[in-house]
Amino acid sequence: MNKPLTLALPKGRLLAPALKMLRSMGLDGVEADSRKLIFSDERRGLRFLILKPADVPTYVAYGAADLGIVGKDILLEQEPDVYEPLDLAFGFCRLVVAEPMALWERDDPSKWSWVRVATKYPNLTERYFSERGIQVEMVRLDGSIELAPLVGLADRIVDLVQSGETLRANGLVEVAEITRSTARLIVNRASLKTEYSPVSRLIDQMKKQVTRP
Amino acid sequence: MDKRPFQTQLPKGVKIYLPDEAAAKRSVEERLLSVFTRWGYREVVTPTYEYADVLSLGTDETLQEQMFRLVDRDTGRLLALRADITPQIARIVATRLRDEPKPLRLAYLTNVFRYGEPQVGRYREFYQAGVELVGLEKPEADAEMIAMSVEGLRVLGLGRFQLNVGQADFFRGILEELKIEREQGRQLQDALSRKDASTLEQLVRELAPPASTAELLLALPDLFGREEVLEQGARLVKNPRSERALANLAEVHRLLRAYGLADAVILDLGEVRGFDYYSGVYFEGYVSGLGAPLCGGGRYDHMLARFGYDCPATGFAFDVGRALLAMEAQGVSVPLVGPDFFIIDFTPEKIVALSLSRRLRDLGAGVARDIITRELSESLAYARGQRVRWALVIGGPKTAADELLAVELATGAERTIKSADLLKAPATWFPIGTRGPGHA
Repeated sequence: MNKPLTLALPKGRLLAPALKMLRSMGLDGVEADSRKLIFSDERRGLRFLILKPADVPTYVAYGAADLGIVGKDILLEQEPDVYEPLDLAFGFCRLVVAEPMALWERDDPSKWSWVRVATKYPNLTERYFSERGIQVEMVRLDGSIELAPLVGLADRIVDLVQSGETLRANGLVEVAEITRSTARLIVNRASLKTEYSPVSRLIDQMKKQVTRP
Repeated sequence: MDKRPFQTQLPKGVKIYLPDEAAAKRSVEERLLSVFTRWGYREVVTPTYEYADVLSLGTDETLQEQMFRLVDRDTGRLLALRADITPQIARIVATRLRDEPKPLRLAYLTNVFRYGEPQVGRYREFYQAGVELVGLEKPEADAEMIAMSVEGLRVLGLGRFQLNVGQADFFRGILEELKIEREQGRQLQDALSRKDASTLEQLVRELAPPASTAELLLALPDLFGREEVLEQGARLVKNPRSERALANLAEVHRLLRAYGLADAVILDLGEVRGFDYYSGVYFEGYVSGLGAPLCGGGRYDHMLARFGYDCPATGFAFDVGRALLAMEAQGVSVPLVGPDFFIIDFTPEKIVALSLSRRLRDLGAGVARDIITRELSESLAYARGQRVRWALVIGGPKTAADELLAVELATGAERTIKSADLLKAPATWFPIGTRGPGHA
C-alpha cells in the first residue's frame, strides 16, 4: 500500500469551488463546516489539510503536503519553489492599487514618485512600484486593508478585488491593475518524482475538470 | 524581542551538531566517502575562502549574490567563502593538475556557505559530500555519476528514491531554434521550471513560433517519465542540437539499464532548473518523505575553460544535512555507540583503573573513567546514559580487593573477575581487540 497523498486546501473563498471540483471527481470526506483541519478519503488514499491560504505554499514546498490549491496572487507574492502544473480557472480576482475617491479626483498616477501603501502583498507591491521607478513606503497589514486610507494609515492600498463591491462600499476607486489571479494546483518537487504515478493520475483527473472560461 | 544574554545568541543560518547529531552526521559522511573510495576517487581539500572574483568565474549570478564576502587585509581585495566546491576544483585542475593523466577522480567532504533564505534542511553553512570526474566526455562518465548517487542513497539505508535526469542541451537547442531575445528565453525557462502550463501557453501565443515548435514547447512540462519519454521527445524535436542531446541522454539511459538502475531513474526533458550551470546530462535525487532534492549534479564542460583549460567534466554532491533529514523521515536510524568500558574505581590509589584503562585502549577498545566520586548506582546510571557496554567496578562492596565487578549495562548481567587475569588477557573475557585501534 502506498502512503496516502496529502492535498492542502485553502480556507476562505477558494474552499467551496475547490471542494466542488473534488466532489465532481468523486473524492469525498471533507466536511466544509467542521472545525476539523484534517480529513481523509481512505478508499482513495488521500488526505486533506485545511490551511490558511498563505500557508499552503509552505506546506507544499516542505513536502508536508504533496499537492495544494492556492491563488496565483499568493504564488506571485511568495515565489515558492514548487511545480505549478494546472490553472484551475476558478476563483478569478484581480490585484489592484486603489485610493479614496477624494484623492483620486485630483490625483495623477503618472506623477507619482513616492507613495505610502497598505497591503498584505509587500513583495508584489514593491516589485510593481519599483519597476515604475516609484518609491514605496509599505504598511504591512493582514486583513481589512480597505480601512487603512479611511483612518489615515496609508493613502493607498494594494488589495485583491473580485466584484469591486468592497472598494465601493469604502469609498475607494481602482487606479491600476497589478495582476490577475485564479486558483492553481501546486505540487511538491519531490512528490512529483517519487510518487510519480498517483500524483500524475490526480493531476490528469483535475485537468479533465477544468473548463476554460 | 529576544532578551537572552548576547553570549548565547547565534547568527541566523548556522547550526550546532551536539554529540549524537555529530555522530549521525559523521556516519553519513563516512559512508558516502567509502562509496567514493570504492569507485576510485581520492579526496582533495580546498580553501574555505578565496578571492571573490576568481570564484565568481565559475559561479552563476544567483549564487554569486549569495556569497559571504569579506575584505583581505593584506591586499584590500574582496574575498568570498566558498559557496560551491566545483569552481574551486575546476581551478585546481586547470592550474595544478592539468598535466596529470586523465581521467581525474576527485572527492570532497566540506562545508559551504550561502546567504539564502531558509529551505528544507538547509542552513547558510551546510555540508556537502561529492565528487568530480574530470577529462571524460563519454556518456559512461555521466552514468557513473548517477550510479554512484544511487549507491550513496542505498548505503545511507534510504528507499523509495528517484533520480530525475535531464539534458541541458535539449532546451538550449529549442531556444536556438526559436531565435528569441534573452529575456523571452528567461520567461520560458521560468515557466518551465515551475511546469506552469498556463503561463507557458500564454508565452507561446506571444512568440507565435512554427506549429511544430509550439507543439514541442507546450509538451515540455509533461515530457517526464520512464524510457518512453525519449521516443516522445524524438517525435517532437526538429533541431540538430536537441536531437544530439536526446541521443546522448538515450545512451546514458542505456548504460543505467546495464547498471540495473532503470527503475531508479525518471527522465525529464522539461527540467530546466540546472540549465544555466550544466552543459549536458544532469540530475537531482529525491526520496519519499523529503520535499527537496538531497543530491544532484551533472556535466559542466564549459567550466574549466573559464580557468584557462578546456576539458570536459562532470560531478555530483550530497547535501549531508538533507540526507540526515531524509533518513529521519524514512525511519532509518544511525546506530549510536558509546565507549566499550566505563571504569569506576573506589580505591584511593586508582592503580588498577589506570593500568586497566591503558591496557584496554591499547587493544583498541574505548575506555572512559568515572573520576567523579559518587554512589555506584549514580555512576552506573551515568554510564548507561553514555551508551557504555560494560562497567568495570573496582573496590566496590561486592568484590574482594584483588577482584573487580563487570556489569553488562544493557542486561544488568554481572560477573566477578580477578583484576590480574583481566589485565593479562582482556580478550578472553571480552570480545575486544578484533576491530583494531581507533574503533570504539
